[in-house]
Amino acid sequence: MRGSSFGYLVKQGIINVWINRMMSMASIGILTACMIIVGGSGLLAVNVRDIFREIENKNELVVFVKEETDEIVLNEMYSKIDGMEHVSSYHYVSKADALEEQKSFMGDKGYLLEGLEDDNPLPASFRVKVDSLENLESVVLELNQMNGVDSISAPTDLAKTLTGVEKAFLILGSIIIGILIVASAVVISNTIRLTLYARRREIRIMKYVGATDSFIRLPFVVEGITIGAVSAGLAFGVLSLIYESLGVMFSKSGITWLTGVSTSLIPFANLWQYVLLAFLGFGVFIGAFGSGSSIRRYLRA
Amino acid sequence: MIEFRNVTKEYPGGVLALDEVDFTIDKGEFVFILGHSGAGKSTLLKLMLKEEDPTDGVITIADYNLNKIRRRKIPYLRRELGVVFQDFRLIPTMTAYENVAFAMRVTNVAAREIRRRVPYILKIVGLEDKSMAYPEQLSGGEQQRVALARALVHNPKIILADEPTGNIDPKLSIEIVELLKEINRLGTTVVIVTHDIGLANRFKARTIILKDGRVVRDTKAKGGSAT
Ligand SMILES: Nc1ncnc2c1ncn2[C@@H]1O[C@H](COP(=O)(O)OP(=O)(O)OP(=O)(O)O)[C@@H](O)[C@H]1O
Ligand SMILES: [Mg+2]
Repeated sequence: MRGSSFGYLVKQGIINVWINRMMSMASIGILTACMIIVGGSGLLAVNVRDIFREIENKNELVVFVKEETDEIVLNEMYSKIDGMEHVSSYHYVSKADALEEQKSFMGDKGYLLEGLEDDNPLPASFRVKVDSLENLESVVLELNQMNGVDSISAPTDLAKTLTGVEKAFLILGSIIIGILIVASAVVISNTIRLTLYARRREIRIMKYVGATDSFIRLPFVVEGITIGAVSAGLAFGVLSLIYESLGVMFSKSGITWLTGVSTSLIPFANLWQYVLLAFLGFGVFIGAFGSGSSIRRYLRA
Repeated sequence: MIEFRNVTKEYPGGVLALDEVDFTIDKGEFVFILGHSGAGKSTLLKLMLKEEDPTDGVITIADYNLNKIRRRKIPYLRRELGVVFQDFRLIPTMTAYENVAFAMRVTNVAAREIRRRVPYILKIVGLEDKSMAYPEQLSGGEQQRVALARALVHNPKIILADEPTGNIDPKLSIEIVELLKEINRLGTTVVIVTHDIGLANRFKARTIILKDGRVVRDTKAKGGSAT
């Protein structure tokens, strides 16, 4: 196809958007809303993931070692923990270390613990980090079977809740995104079908004077892509505004936990490229796919 | 150039529009296809354009075997044919000039060539000062000439005109046919479909008469019009 023809056809596609502007605007509106919902869920998901990561890192299992456990059992415990599949890191805290830790934890009241060195009530322990909250329970079960274990303190309930929430998010998110993708494709394809209907005469005449299918198709594909790209731009603008202003609102809210959330929010500056790229990719793909599917029927007839 | 070998066309529902139609039109001929309403004339054109497929028989147009032509190739077959439709089929939102230029544009012709060729063709059909008018601002005869200009513009090997004299007064009909005659003299094969027996007689050209889907008469090369 020569450049002048290509330019002409692209122009025709953009003119189509304008001629069909009521419907174009409606579909841009719907598409923009879909993208904001999908993008918003995406941003929420990455932030939740981020927070979960932090929790996962902070939460460690504490395996308290029985009093009077001898070197042999202790070494056995070392090598068992070392060989466990889902353990990402661990370290041993001796009775003396535990006391020091407790002292520094109490700050200037640490002197209260002075003199306990010889009659240390604090148990020795292993601090074990698990690679993922999902595996926490199985690791706890395994650790419990070791010799020398007194008790284990683990945030299993929290882990259960968090992994459950994460899974629910994932499933619900996928369903919503799937529905919105289908809805977007249907909306675009209906819009293009209206243009096709308005231009059916032209299309017929184009066919009679020997236009190839790709020539006939191009302006409509351009129309779909234009609608998709404009929606992507709008959705990006709106979503970035919402995201930034939510951050500001949270930090100024005066509510402690909201302020906390605002500080752990991933800055938009680190995210915008992915959001824009995803929106443009989604818009262009849905635009091309939606228009293509409605034209196919027209070209057959 | 145009070959129909025992072509039969039955529409769904059992209407037999063409029945064993058999004729050959050579390059450079000027032919009338004459027939009453419902004789199958438009069906004949639709088959040539590959808008419809025959039930039986073989059609060859400009070296394309229409029974075997691939879908992808149909546009190129159609570029060999310049068709003037009975209802003109102009695009109402485009000027006369754009209607003609459009036909070139959609067949991938360079912009410069379009700017050169369209005014020239509009001049041939006598519409040079109406080129910026929209179809609704033009008389029936003028619209017809726009349709003719569009059919001529990419220099087709064959011109097919379906009832080109259907909606206009006799004087204009004669002018149109004269013009087609002129184009034929430059080497283009011309086929005019009409029910106007007077017009066909006046021009003493080869006439194929259709009746109820059958060729009942073919006055091959009468009076030296077909060269
Ligand atoms: N799409 C169709 N489906 C069914 N029957 C059709 C179809 N098109 C045409 N016919 C029938 O085929 C026959 C021939 O029709 P055609 O249009 O070829 O006639 P025609 O010679 O062009 O007539 P006219 O001079 O009125 O235009 C008619 O009986 C018509 O009713
Ligand atoms: Mg007819």
